[in-house]
Amino acid sequence: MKAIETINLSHTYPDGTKAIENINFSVEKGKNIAILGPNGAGKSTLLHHFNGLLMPTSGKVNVLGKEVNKQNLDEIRQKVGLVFQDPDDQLFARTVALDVAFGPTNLKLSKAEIEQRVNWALEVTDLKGLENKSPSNLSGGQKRRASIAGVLAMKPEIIILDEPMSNLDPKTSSKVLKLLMQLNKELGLTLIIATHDVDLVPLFADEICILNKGQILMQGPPQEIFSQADLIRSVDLRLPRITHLFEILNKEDSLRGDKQYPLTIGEARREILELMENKKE
Amino acid sequence: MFEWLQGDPVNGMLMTLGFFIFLIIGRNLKLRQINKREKNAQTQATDHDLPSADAPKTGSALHRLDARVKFICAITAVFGAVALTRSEYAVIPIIVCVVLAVYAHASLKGYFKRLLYPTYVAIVVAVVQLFVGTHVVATIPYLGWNIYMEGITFAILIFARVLAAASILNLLITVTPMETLLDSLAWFRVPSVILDTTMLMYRYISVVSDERARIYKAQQSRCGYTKSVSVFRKLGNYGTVGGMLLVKSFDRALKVGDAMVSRGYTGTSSLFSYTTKKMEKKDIAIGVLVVLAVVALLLADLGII
Repeated sequence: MKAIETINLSHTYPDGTKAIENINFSVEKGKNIAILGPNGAGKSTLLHHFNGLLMPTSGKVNVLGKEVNKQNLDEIRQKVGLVFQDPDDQLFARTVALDVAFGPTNLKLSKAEIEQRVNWALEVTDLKGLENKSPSNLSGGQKRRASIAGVLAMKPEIIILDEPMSNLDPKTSSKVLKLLMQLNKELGLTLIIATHDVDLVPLFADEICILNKGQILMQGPPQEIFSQADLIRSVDLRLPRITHLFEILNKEDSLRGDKQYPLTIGEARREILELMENKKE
Repeated sequence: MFEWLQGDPVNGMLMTLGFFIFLIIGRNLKLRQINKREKNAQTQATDHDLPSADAPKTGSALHRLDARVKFICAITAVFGAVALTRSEYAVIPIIVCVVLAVYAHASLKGYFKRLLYPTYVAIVVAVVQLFVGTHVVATIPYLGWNIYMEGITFAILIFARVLAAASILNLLITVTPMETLLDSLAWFRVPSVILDTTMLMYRYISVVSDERARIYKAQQSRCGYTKSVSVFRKLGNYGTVGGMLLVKSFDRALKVGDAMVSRGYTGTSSLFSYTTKKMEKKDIAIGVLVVLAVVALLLADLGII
């Protein structure tokens, strides 16, 4: 089943800027998809359509088989959670717990259910003990996790994250990534992540969608996408560092054959070990 | 030109409202300072050890006193202070507040620092009063502006009233966390839209303050405030900071609005919930005593007792 599908989706802002044009995008339920693109490619505009924050100028958006329209926005927003790029935009309540409770309260749930959801979301995001803190006193990583908790508490089926790893140190970034992977594996959530971080993408994405100048350039599994290095570079992106190294080793040093380049350190390690074994033989 | 300031005592109350805003900003800046200091001291702290500026300082009875009682006492005292007609009586609340701040183990440095903002405004208001009256006592050379006897007397009174009112509010916010204060306002049936807006303002003061610091540093880093830059240019740069903050605030407001809507907010219900507990008899008794003391001070000021 398709979690999200767009059909000829276009959006033009009131000032006449065509942010996205004829986008035909889809993601299967339970998959992780990364949306890669340079600045101004239209990533945020596309993401905001999935949650109904923006309505199409033309075309349509289907969420879990239902077309998004003004009548079903409440239902759509419960199913599709949106985590903003800057946590300070999202964490507006006086304490972490109240912020996490904001969504469930809007869903008009019972007090007990709200409390149970808040506790669960805080536990999943490892924020227990910080529930009474003011968001302004949290660290960058904690703020990010609190933003995710706020969305999780609505029990969505799809979570959209706009640059979730931006402004985080490597360790915190990895912690957030682990959390997202856990959400996907354990809860079966569909994750749509807009990012610039090409090195992290192969670690989590089942599919990659490259967006440029408001249009989808290509969509497919990471191996397929990163095998088209020239196309990637033509839209001001780059290959993951480890892939780039193997590309150099291949082109400059003829070290390997026509095999696909590794995308992660794990894959690279296996390949290096294989090369060493072959050399011994 | 400045006759509107002579209206009495409503003008004092209006000024006090302005000071309240200054005091909130001042308090937040202080909390941020404390936070930074504590964070530096605990660089190895784990997530759960991070300091909280919002944790109530429960050390004194003043902190533990019911916020609603404190609020009633403070408002009564403020109205009392601005209604005083003799400046020597207005000094009493100022001294009492300092004593209570010491009793509450508040940082005196922070206490007086927060009073600086309203003091600046009080000085401006007091100076303006000097030029209003009928009996000339002096004339400023070159400018030819007359200073009047009534003006001096009224300037001292206004200054003392303002400082007294500001001291009372300063003490209130020193011993009461903002959240508790808003909870108590909810008990007084203040509309939730006002409380929600205040809560959002309070939440975003630190964010806006950070943005201000970033823009200011960006200007500084490109010699925006060096000696070679003229005063007018510097003022222009300050203006740019203000303008940028305004634009960024609008931008952030839109994003915060989007974040609310994306989590199902429709604007039909209150943003936050406010909790209230049962008022204790002991706290009520203290409140009654304070109100009686304010009334006694007013009567003494009027020469009735």
